[in-house]
Amino acid sequence: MPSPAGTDGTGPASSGLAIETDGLTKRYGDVDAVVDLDLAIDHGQIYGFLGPNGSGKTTTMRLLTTLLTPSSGQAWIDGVPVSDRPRAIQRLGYLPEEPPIFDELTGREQLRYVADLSDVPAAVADERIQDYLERFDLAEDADRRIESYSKGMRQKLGIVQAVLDEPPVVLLDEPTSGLDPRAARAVKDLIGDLADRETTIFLSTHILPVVDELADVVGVLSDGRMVAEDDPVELKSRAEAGTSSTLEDVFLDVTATHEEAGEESDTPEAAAGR
Amino acid sequence: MRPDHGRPDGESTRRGHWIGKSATVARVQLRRILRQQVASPWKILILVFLFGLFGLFTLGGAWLAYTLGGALAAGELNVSGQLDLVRGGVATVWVGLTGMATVRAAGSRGSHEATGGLLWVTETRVIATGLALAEVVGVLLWILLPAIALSVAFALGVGSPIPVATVGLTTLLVATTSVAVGYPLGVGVRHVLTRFPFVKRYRTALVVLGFLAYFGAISTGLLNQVVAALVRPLSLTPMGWFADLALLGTPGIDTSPLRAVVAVAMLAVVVPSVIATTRVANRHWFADPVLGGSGDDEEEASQPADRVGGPRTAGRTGTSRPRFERFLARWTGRPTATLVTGAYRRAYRAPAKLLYAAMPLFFLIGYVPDILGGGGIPPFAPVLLLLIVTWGAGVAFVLNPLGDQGNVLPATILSGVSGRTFVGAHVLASLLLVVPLGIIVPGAAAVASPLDPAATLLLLAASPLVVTMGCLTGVGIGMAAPRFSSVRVSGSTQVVVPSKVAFAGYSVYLVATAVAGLLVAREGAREVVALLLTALVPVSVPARAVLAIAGVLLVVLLATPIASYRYAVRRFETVTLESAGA
Repeated sequence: MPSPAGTDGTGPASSGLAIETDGLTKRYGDVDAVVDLDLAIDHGQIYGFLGPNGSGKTTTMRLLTTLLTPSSGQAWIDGVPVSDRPRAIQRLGYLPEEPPIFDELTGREQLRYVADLSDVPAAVADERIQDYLERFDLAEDADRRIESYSKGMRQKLGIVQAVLDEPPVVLLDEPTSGLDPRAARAVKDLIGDLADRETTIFLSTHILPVVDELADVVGVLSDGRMVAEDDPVELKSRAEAGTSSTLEDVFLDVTATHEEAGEESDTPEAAAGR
Repeated sequence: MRPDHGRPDGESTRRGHWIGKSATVARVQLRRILRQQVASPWKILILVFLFGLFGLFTLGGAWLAYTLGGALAAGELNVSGQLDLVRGGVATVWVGLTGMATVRAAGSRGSHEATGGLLWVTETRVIATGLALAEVVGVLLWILLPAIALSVAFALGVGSPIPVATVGLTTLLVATTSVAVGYPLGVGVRHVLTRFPFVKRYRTALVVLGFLAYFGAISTGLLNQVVAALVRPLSLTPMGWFADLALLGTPGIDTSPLRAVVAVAMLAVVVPSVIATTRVANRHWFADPVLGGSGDDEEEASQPADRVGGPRTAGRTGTSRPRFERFLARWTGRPTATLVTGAYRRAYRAPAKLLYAAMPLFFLIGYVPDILGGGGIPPFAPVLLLLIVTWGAGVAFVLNPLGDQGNVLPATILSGVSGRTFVGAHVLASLLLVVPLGIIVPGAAAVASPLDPAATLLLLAASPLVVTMGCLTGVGIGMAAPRFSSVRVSGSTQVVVPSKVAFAGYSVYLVATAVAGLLVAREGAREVVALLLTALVPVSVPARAVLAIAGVLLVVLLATPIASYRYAVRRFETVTLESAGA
């Protein structure tokens, strides 16, 4: 069976960006989850990825992390096509919405497991694990089974395992979800530190102040399509020309505008004109 | 210049270590399984029981092996003519282990869930091979020690240490090769079951049919016949040649060294197995989900969480309510009608739970050939069927009303629904379906049995009453001992079923009521029990005393449903999440 166009890595070469997509599309039957998505995210950038529920954010992240196969289009992580899974996964860390952890293990065992699978030397791994555990106030509970962890503790563990082997690209899906203000601050500080070390952060969240505070560039997805993309200051200043002044207003404006346009195009008149 | 992120870029590093990493995956998987197995006292008790059972068989087997070895050494036994039978037996064991590995992989062991969602961390080959390796070790944990014990006993009997080495090696090879074949096959089967729209849509029906066919094959003796027929052909296959390896060098047995060598060479199957396992796992774990199917544990993990997410309900949309619910609401009020249809909807969407309700039927299947062979339905069958129907009614709808609410329980408690409405609706849901069944099934059996017409009419008249009493008692037991956690019915199907206490309490109630009724109604039964009790206690127990005790017991048991219902109502009205154990 032939691969979707370009996803076998034989298409146009990447321009060496941290994350790059070209016409990335994912269809399920007759439902378009992600449509013709073009991303160009440079090394060390923090990219805020916004969108209403069901807009295609998680599907995009799964496409970028090689967990889903595109229907068409291409994607590269750190210059490596996602179709080349063994090489692509060496360049990324991922925190899904539900942290992938085994309840039966202790926190430390889980992190060592991921470190072992990621080829981090044992001594380096142990040192990093201890640092992160202390940074996220998990050190005291590190040798307890994860089944006894709270939602916030699980989330923190998921974040640590995403960045444990210091990948050049980290994709975080709702990283501050379920965290108290202190833990949320620790996550934001970590994201800032990673960006300072030229790690690219692809950050999907509904908590707009987090994006406002951290992101260098913001992309807004609606119905699987990119409806706005710019740096947050520019987006807000553009919106200020109208009635918007915060990122939340911008988000509501662009997604509402897109939905209205979608509804109009579904009217009989629009259908007749197609 | 971009910084070095500390990850090895070369594929050689990964290739060099993939077997070691697979071993890590296997080690962690085994640790998880072990911790799951000892997670509760019940599970430990079951493990201890199983180990005890294995120990007993091993002891018996060891004695037999020692005796056989001694007879061989003394030249009292010539097994050379029977070697084909031994080969067939060993090959059958291999086929059985392969089947088990296939079923386990088709279930949870080959699922996306088993990967821990860490497919973005390392290669598929590493995780798939690691999971298969864990299965090999899992099989060995059960069979290696008994095999070594048997071989030591045999070696002592025969007076040669060779069997200890050869049997040990054979056990390792049998476990490895059977999993090497069964695991990729199982992941493939799982792919077909969960990723092919047609199969997925009818999976529950297919699983139930398979289950019934399996029980049917066991109860009718067909399975034994098939296995017996396969022994001879299997003895000719390389799987049978493991027997030559196990018995190689044993005095008095003319094994084939060439076949023994081929048996060792079968280890080479591991190489194509790793390739096949990786390919089929790649295909399965990264496949798009089938949308609109019934619940699947791994769907949560692998399917897109966006717009095309969760299972969809075909048909009704918007604010319209089912016709049945509207009809029922006219008679019972909307809250009751909503609770009744909610109970039906849950049963319909989690049909695996109904398997539990039908569990006694599986035990009955074994008697079907005897009943048919006996030329008619025995007179006790209608009463037994009535008991089974009543038991099933309880399990399906009333034995876990709080647990069946799941995450919705707080909303139900706060909805203002009264205890009488909540409990009454669950009893009603059960009676609406099961009263007709309780009349038709035992009634048909009674008509076909030698019961006289008066007894048949009495049974028909009593059926609705018995089912109602059972449901009223069951709802109290279920409210007292709810269960919120789900159990795994098959590899990928989890369902919330009543608690063990509720199952046991309800079963004891039904059996005790039936026995007390029998003792009150039948003088012969009283006399048998009086004789038994006289033999057990130091004083003579007359049949009249049995009647008195059974009579009092029956009155208490017959009064239980009302007390149970009232308790259930009060329990709902005072329930808290903490007291319910949610």
